[in-house]
Amino acid sequence: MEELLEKLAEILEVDELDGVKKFVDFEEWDSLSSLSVIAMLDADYKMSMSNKELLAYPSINAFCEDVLSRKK
Amino acid sequence: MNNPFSLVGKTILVTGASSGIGKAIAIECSKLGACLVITGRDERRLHATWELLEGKGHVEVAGDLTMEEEVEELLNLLPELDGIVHVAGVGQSIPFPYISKEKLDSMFSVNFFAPVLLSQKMIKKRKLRKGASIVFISSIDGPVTAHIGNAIYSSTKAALTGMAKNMAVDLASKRIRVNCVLPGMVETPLIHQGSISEEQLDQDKLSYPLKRYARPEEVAYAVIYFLSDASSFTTGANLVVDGGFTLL
Repeated sequence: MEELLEKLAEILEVDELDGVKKFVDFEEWDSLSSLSVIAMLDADYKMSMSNKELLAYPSINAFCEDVLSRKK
Repeated sequence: MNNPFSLVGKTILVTGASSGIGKAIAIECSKLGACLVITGRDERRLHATWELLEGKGHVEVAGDLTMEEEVEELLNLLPELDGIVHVAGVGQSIPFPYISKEKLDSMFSVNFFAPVLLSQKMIKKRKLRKGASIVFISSIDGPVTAHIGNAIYSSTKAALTGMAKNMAVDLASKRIRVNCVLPGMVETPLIHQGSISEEQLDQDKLSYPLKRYARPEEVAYAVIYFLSDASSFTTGANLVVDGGFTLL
């Protein structure tokens, strides 16, 4: 969980990540961020996800929990 | 009255004809009297394209152009051609920090090595008549513009335009012309696959002076110009079909 949160913090360009927030709540969130999260999931977690699915998570924590439970 | 854009009497190979731009090109060429050989990986969708072609005598050959044996099979089946349109291509958005050799190899294999090597083999096997026309579907991305996450895709398209110019020079003695069509965004299934949201697409259309994306047949018409005798003095050219996007 720590590792995934760190990767997300890097993409969102923040030092600390508030897991209760949604992706779109972050100031730096834009199309590059969403593509980066999708690319990171593919490269590091061998998982594919569409932009629509990504934005449907109610919080970063919910996203992380789901990704880690699906991790092969 | 002689129509310089007519394709009557010409036999044309179109790759990537199972869907999108390739499908539209094959259909529009058939309407102008061409005899088509169409190829694509998806047999069912390729056949659906074949069913929509006007006229008779068209041939469909399913296959993967990155596989050497399947390319050989296609080459053995081919009659002499007056034109090839290289449309088969893939796109994937990968921001530069996440590219890898694997992703580079994979996209270059389909978008660049396959069409270039197919062209070379066709010339070696004398499958292209003198005066034939080779058309590559490139993109504004690469040769002209850049878009977020499109580093690899753009590179493959820029490589095609560089190769086409040199092919134009090397093949001029055979009167074989080589040109590229550079579309902006085109309304095909590829753009609705999920990496860009529908809202983002609607917003993006506003940055086009003509306020919309191209219809696939509008790209086909540019290809038809290059395939026809109307472009008999045009070689090594890049024709941008982008609704004015690159003007701004």
